[in-house]
Amino acid sequence: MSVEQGTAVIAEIRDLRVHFPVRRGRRRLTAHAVDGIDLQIHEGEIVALVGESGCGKTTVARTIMRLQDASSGSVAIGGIDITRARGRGLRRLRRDFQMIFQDPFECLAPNSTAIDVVTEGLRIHRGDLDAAARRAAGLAALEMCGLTPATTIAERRIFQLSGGQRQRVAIAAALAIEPRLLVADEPVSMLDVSLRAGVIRVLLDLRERLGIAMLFITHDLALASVFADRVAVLYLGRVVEQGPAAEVIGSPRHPYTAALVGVMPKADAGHRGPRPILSGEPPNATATMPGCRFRPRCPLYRQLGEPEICQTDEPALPIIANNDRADHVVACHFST
Amino acid sequence: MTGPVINSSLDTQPVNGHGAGGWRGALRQLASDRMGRIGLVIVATVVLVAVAGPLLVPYDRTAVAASRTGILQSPSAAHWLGTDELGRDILRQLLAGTSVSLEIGLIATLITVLIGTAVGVLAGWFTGFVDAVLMRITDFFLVLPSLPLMIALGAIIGQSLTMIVFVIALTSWPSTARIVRSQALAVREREVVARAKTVGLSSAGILWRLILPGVMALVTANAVLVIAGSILAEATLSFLGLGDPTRTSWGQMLHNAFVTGAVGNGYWWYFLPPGIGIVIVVLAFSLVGQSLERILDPRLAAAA
Amino acid sequence: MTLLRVRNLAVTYPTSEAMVRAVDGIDLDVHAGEVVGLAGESGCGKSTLALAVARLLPRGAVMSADEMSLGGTDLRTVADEELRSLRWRRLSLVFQGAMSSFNPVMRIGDQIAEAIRTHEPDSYRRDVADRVGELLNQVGIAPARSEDFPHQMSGGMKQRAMIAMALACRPELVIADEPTTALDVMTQAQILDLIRRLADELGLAMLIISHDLTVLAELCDRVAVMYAGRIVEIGEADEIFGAAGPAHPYARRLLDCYPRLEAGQGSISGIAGSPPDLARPPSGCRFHDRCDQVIPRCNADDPTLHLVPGSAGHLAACHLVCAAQAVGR
Repeated sequence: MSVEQGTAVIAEIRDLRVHFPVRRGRRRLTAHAVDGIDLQIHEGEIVALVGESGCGKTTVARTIMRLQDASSGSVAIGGIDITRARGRGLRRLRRDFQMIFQDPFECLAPNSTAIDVVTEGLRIHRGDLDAAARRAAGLAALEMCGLTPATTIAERRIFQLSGGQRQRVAIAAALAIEPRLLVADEPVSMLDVSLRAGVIRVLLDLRERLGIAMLFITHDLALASVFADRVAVLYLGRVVEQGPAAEVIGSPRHPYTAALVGVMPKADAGHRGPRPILSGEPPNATATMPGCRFRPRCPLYRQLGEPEICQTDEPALPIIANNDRADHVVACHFST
Repeated sequence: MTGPVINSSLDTQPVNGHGAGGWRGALRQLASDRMGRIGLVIVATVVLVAVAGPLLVPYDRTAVAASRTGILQSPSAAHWLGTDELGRDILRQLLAGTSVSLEIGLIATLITVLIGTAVGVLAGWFTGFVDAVLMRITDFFLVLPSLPLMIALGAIIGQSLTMIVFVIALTSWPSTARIVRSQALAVREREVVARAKTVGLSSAGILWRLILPGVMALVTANAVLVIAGSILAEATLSFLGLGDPTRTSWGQMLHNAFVTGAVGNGYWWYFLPPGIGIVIVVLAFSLVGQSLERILDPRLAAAA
Repeated sequence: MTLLRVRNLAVTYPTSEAMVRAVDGIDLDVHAGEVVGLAGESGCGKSTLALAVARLLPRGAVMSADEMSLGGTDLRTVADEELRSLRWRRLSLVFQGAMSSFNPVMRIGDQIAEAIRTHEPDSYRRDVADRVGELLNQVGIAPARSEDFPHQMSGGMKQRAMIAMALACRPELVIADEPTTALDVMTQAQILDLIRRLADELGLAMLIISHDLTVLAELCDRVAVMYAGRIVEIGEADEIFGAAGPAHPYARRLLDCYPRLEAGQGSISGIAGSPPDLARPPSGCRFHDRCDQVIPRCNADDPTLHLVPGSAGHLAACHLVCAAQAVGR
């Protein structure tokens, strides 16, 4: 059910790096949480950023939203580099990029009414609207997110709403100011499984109707496969594979992606049996090493007898040519 | 639309703006806590007495005894708590002193809370250099010894209850500031604040709409305890003779009693009433304050 | 041999508005060496059930049961002393978020040793130390790491250490509440693998509680699905997760909610509506207002668990399933 997507690039992330100073005992180390990411999101496109904890996906989201400063690199939204903006200028630009947070119980003030939450952005960014117009826009947004009857839900206080409803209110608040980019950080992972479809459908609906571009952060590959157009797999702060969702998940080319797909949980009785479980833990971002950073856990590396190039050269992700969104690229010396 | 189903998690939610009720919820919980209830009742009584008290006792407060037989009388039908060294009715003084002690406690607390909250919130929000500077100033005032300061100021400015209020506030605001700062730092890290930033709310907006309300509950609990402390401080300072001899406060009464030698001579009706009064009022405010703290911080309640 | 027998268990919480029956008439058996799963979404009562069995309900909760026994011991009336010796020696627990319930200032090895010494006070120090090393080995932690403090271990390692602690006194039954929530998918796979292996090797009986059906499909021999305080379906995991799928409409719909790779973009299902308010349960079947196969009888009659036709031991509480059975009779 893909929509006619414009080829205009809404968000362009170039060589984004985010480094944190970290103290381990008396030593001062640097955590390279995000270590050189290039990503393009087109109008009406849904790009999923997947990976385990520590891969940097949440840091990418927070850096794009300017909750975190980038160490280097740029993030351009609608052509404007938002990493340079500050103060009032930044606040004005924020209208173009909004975020849906992971925990619907933590990100909304419990005593506010739903309509207050939804119209807050309008008060800030649409000074041209009077109270009546704002209320109308707010109610329309609530309707669009499936919270009906909007007039009743509008007066409810946040603490009276369930998790799924709160997320919808958050989405309504975001879309009321008509952003170009929506960053959704694990928007359904804290919801019961039966409620997730409702929220996902709202997001898909918004993409259809308004052509909003979305960056969807998740650890759930199965969800990414039914929701996203393209998937970028992150490992230790870098993209190791990128391409159309069905392709990346259906026929993964990077050994890490293959492992993630292999251990995907399935509610299937015939599922028990040996699977390609990677040994070890997700690595921490302070350990820098020469060569490929996936080397310690890479089954392909061991299989091929520990080739030297993996120890010396960090594989680069080929640049996607000509804005071609059907391109499936991988950062590995020996990918299939 | 059915309401939320019972949560299988066993966490109690802090009243601190979260969950149902907010202020009304807090009051309800306060009333259900035994200590809080007792404190609340006593405080209400004291306030009532302060406001209406002197009207209840129809004696002229300043009426002085006509002859020597009228002074230092033990309690009788005419004077329920006896008379002092000038023949003035003790009960009347006690009732008048209620409002003075309370007044001083409240005004000193108001100033303390205003300064402490402002400093705490600003230090907690801006962190970095601003925080460092504000905290050093706070530390300076924290270590000022109130008694020598009072005596010095008394010598310069002259003794008055205004000066007492001033000194109490000066030496109390730092601890409020520290408490508020900790809470502000915590509130700052909440996801609500992060989201408010992404929506485009300015720093001032966030401070006013999120940080300040987030510390208000703690400030209130702290304020109640500061009232208790202020009343006690005023009593102490007046007792030591640093207060205003023309205004009847309980501390002043104790001072007069002491000077008159009431303790040695067994004029118990002179020093016991104000002494007991101070203890009861301070205790009452402390009970309410501690109860509020317990309600607002579930972890303290669990440990209790 | 039946290890845990529960009959007609009910747990009521008093709230400011009304009495809420979080668990309403549960029958459950766990046999020796069997892994049983308890599935359900928020508020269905599964955690409450676990707490009730372990006698850890909060003050104010009212529990009643016709029977609740572990081996020969009646769990309802057991005295505090015996309860203490029962816990950990015969019944141990792994809680949700257990990773954060380690004492942050004690070494992991010491904490496990403490668990052993508390419940087997006559053990020799060296035996305890050996046992700790053995346990850590069993869960895949290098014994040298027993000197580590909790903050030096990752989430996955702490969860393994928690499991080691639960096995310390060789219990008959282990109750695990959400053993892999908050873990990465790779670490989760490792932990599930470990649990399955241990259950097989040690012949453990386990009661696993999870909102995640995929976890239960991985681990369990039998699965019970809960909804609004009741068990609505219970049967062999192979049957419920097999080709035919679950019998009860809620269980079917729940299983459908898990996205499948092959499904294609946009095909994700949910269940409209929300669970009933347990303070005022609806008349008839508790799921009838959200069920897409509702028949008139569902509104009035509350179904009980009956055998699913053509099976042995697969039960469902649904009129549709039972009607077929009644007709067949």
